[in-house]
Amino acid sequence: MRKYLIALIIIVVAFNGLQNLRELNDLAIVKAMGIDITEDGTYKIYAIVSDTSEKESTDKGIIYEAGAESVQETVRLIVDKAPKKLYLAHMETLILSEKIAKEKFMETLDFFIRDNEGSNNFYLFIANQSDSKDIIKTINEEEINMKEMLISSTRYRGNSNTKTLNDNIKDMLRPGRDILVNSCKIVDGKIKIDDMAFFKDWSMIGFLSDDYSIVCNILNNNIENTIITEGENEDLVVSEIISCKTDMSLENEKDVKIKVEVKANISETGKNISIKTAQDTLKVQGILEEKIESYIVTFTDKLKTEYNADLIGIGNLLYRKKSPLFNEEDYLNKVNISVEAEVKIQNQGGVIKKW
Amino acid sequence: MNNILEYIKSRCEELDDVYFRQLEIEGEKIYLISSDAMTDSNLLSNFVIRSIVECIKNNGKEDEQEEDISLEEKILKKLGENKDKIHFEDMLSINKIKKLDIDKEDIFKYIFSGFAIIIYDLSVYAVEVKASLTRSISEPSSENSIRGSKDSFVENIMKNVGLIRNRIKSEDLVYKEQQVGRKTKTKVALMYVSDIAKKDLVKYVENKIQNIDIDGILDVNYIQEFIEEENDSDFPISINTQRPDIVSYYLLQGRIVVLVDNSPFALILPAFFEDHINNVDDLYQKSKNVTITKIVRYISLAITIMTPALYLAITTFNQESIPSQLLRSFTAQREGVPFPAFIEALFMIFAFEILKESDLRANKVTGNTLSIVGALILGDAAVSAGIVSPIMIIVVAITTISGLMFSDINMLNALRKWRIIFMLFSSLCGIIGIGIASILLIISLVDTKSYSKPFTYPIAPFNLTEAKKNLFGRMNISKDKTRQKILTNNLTKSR
Amino acid sequence: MVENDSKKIYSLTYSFVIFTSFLALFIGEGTHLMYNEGKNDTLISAIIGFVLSFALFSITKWIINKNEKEDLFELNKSVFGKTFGNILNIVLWIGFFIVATVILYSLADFFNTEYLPETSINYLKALVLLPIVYVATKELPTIIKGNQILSLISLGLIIFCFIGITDSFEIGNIEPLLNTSKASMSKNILTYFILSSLPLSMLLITSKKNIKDSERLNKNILKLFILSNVCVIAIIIGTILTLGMEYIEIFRFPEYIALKQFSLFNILERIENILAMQYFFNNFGLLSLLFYFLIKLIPKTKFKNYYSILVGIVQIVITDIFFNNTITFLEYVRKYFVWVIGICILIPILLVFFKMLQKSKSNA
Repeated sequence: MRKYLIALIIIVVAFNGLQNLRELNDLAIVKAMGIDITEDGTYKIYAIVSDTSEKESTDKGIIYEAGAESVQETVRLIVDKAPKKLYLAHMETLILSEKIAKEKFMETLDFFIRDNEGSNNFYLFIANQSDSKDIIKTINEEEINMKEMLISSTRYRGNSNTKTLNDNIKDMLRPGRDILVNSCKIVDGKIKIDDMAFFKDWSMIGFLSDDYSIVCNILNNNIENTIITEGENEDLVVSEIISCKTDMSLENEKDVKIKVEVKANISETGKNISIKTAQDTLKVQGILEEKIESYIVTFTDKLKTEYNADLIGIGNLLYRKKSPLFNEEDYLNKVNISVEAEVKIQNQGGVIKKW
Repeated sequence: MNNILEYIKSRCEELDDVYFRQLEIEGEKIYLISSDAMTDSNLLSNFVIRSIVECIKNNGKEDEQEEDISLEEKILKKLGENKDKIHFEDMLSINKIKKLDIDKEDIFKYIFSGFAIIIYDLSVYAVEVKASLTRSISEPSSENSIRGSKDSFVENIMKNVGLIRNRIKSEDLVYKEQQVGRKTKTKVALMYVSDIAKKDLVKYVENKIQNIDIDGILDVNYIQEFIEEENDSDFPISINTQRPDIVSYYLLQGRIVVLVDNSPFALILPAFFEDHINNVDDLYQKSKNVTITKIVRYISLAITIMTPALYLAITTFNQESIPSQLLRSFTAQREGVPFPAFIEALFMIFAFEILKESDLRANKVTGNTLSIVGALILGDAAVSAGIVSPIMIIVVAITTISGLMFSDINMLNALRKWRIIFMLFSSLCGIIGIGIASILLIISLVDTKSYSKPFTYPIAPFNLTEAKKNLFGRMNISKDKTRQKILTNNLTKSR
Repeated sequence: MVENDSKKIYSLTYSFVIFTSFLALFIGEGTHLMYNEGKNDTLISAIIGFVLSFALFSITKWIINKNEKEDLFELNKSVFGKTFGNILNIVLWIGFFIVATVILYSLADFFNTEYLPETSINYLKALVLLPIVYVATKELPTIIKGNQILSLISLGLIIFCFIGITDSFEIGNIEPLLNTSKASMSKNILTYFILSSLPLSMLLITSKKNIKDSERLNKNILKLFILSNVCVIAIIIGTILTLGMEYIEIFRFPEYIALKQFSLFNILERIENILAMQYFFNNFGLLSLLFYFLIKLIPKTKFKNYYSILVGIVQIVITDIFFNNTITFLEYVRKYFVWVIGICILIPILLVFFKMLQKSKSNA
């Protein structure tokens, strides 16, 4: 029996060969990619490929560019200029221009969803007030690691989120939810992570302003650390939020209750604020709670009137709890939102300013 | 008597080491035949010839007193009322003496086993005056023991049996001997504990050994190939060992030991797959700490079979499993290498095997220098010349080092064969190839029969009590109260 | 001669047959059928189907305990007489053949989409048939022991997968529950119920006299039946919680896409190609048992060893003619597969059961 198995292997190999076999030297490993679209609808793609011809590895790469009618064709056209086919499984960032995000978002991303080599766990950026070409060039020259910048900015500042393409597509497909995407901007020759862009029905509407990005992240449970300031001069309270948890629940068909639980540390105070006794601590906690609640209330009002996009997932909540309000057109205006915040201050005491 | 003597002398024309000596008592001739190579002349002169000569002298002294009585009657008087013919054996002060029957037994076997033949009065006696031709008991040469006893078997079968009987002092330990081989006439012995071992296995082995018809038996492996001839698996189904404490441990479980003269290795059967991985030395350490040791051994078994195949599959078919930073450095390393990865891996494994073989054959003087040169060649020079990439050397080195954990040479050869099969399949179709090859390995392991017992015993017919004893960690000796059901019918260890 | 210990089958080893068959049949085809019908209520219909399939389990257990020395084909002949028994045997044979073909195509399709997208699918079918041809020449104790080791490995891999995926669960994905119509839910329950008759029929591959310690057989079968069902339901829960229902409907193998989120200590990422070997092992176990059944009914001639190659080549040719691509295959599966199993496998077993019940009542 063994002889026939060996003969089978030899026959199979001889007739078909070893396809799908790629040596490591045949790979062009892409680190980051940027997509632009011109006036007449051709895509332009810029890809940073790691340079492995020298023994010591540097972070600088080579940029290839090409242009064609569809994304897949463009990616293939790069083979004319580079000696290898692009390998997209280890890509870390993808940068899209504003025009694509406003007009052709899902069509561009269709190529990435169907690709079965990658797992779509790269980060998405929208190029704010520039072309993705300039951003790609800056990334290459300054050897910037976008992934680390994004992670530290999310963790310590709170105005961005670390959602990969996979998470964004999952959110887009769920009923009653609109997504937020990070953006980046060139400032003085270096890259800065900027406010988030918000979408409605799969196309971009605009950018949120700075404070509202933080509030939106609080409501979406994406915050790890951030800073809240209240008052000025003598009544100054600056606190650092350590952990933050948000819970949204549905009371009746129309009432949504948002509950925020926050743990904070006090970093700086003005002269009139002190946290030496329990009563003072309660007072300061009250100040912070009021600040958070007023933020959230103004934000939700702005959502209903100005933005008109469901950025915090109220529609999804209605769908999950099977409320009949979900089937109506503008459920966002008919819903009553009530907010309750709870702050706990961890540290105590303070510098004695004046006896 | 003359016929026997003529017969022996005619066969000894070309044997110059066989020596003839003639003595006379009362006119009767006593002939002494021995082989110089096999006998100890001390024993022969001091005990055999002296006792015969003194008997002659004593008789001579008594002859002065009583002249008429013949030798037989004088001895009869001395020995009392024994009216039968006197036993010649009682005159000699030597331990082992046997009267031979000329028609049935083979005189030359006795001559070349260290016996001296005495021909007296139409009967032939064989007296043992053997020279000691073996080395003394020393440390085992191919197995290490950290905490166990450090004596090992030697080439003499009786000394080996003595080492075993030292440890099992019961009368249930049976020793049965047979003679195998037309020209070599080697002693082959079978030992087992009679109320623990299973009788049908004993009968099977005995029958097989009795039916061996061959010129000569030189080593215990000859017997092994006769007994195992129906089994065509790659893995060894018996254990070869050099240490008597391992043999005693297995005897007490109910297994059978085969010993062959002139061979310092003993054969233990039947053997299961877990016996090649576990070590009897585990019994000499604390039972709770052995768990991590066993986990390390199983992981090294997996590493030594699968690492080259896994490396080949991941770098040629599924590159997304490697972390990004490592991938860039692997690519940089492979830039200058001209061969495909499969050829490179085969080349490196071949080079390591050549190093191992030549290390065994080279003598102690030149061996060290050559292996250093070989290692240097394989290491730096090949990398700088651009023939192999450095990561491949690391992969093959890890494989070889974790393969050294198993001491049996048959097991190492089987693992080497399966390593190459895994590499073939994985270079054909990637990770699917590893799946196919592991299925083939599992089926081939499960199909092996070790003397009609399943080879993968506690795992494949899954038996929870046995698995708890030896599979992951060792049960405390004071709690281990039953024997294995597959090896014996006598299950309880105490009375 | 020596007492042949290696040809005996022990009861715990024998009951692992259920494990591989369940996981092979349900994870590839069964969940695909149920997700498309039931959406989020797949979970509830799976649990209800599990509770209902205890009835099938007791029927099978009764059949095993009642007859002492016949396997499934001989049992048909002895209960119903020669002609009707042969007809039932042929119906069963056709059912097993179709199931084996579907599983072979589905396995080759899995490799074609996820691992080697550029090779032709016939090459992959021949590659999958390679170990099966090797196993088909061995006897039954070897097949069952190999089955046990493969199922232990795949159980270990499943537990390992769960450790790495738990980080990316989102509890909100499971709602809304009870949103679909009653018709879809009952269809799902019926699917689960009918599909579980195939693994239970694998238990009739040999009779009770060949099993060594048969007094523990009932307990062991029950334990493993519950274990395999719990595994299937756990995998369904894991997939829904990771991906969310809307994302699942896009893909053909959603469990594989859920495994792409595996992440352990931030080092071991993207090793879903190694972890998915459990799918290969389970399917291989089921195919080896099915091939043993298929070859048993063909009359023995000199070329006994080559029957498996013949059956395999016939299957490759049939799938090449009828299924051009995955879409036609999926349409066929959605329309006909459950009916095939129901008619060809479930009904013969029920017929045998009722006839034996009738006979024992008339005897007693």
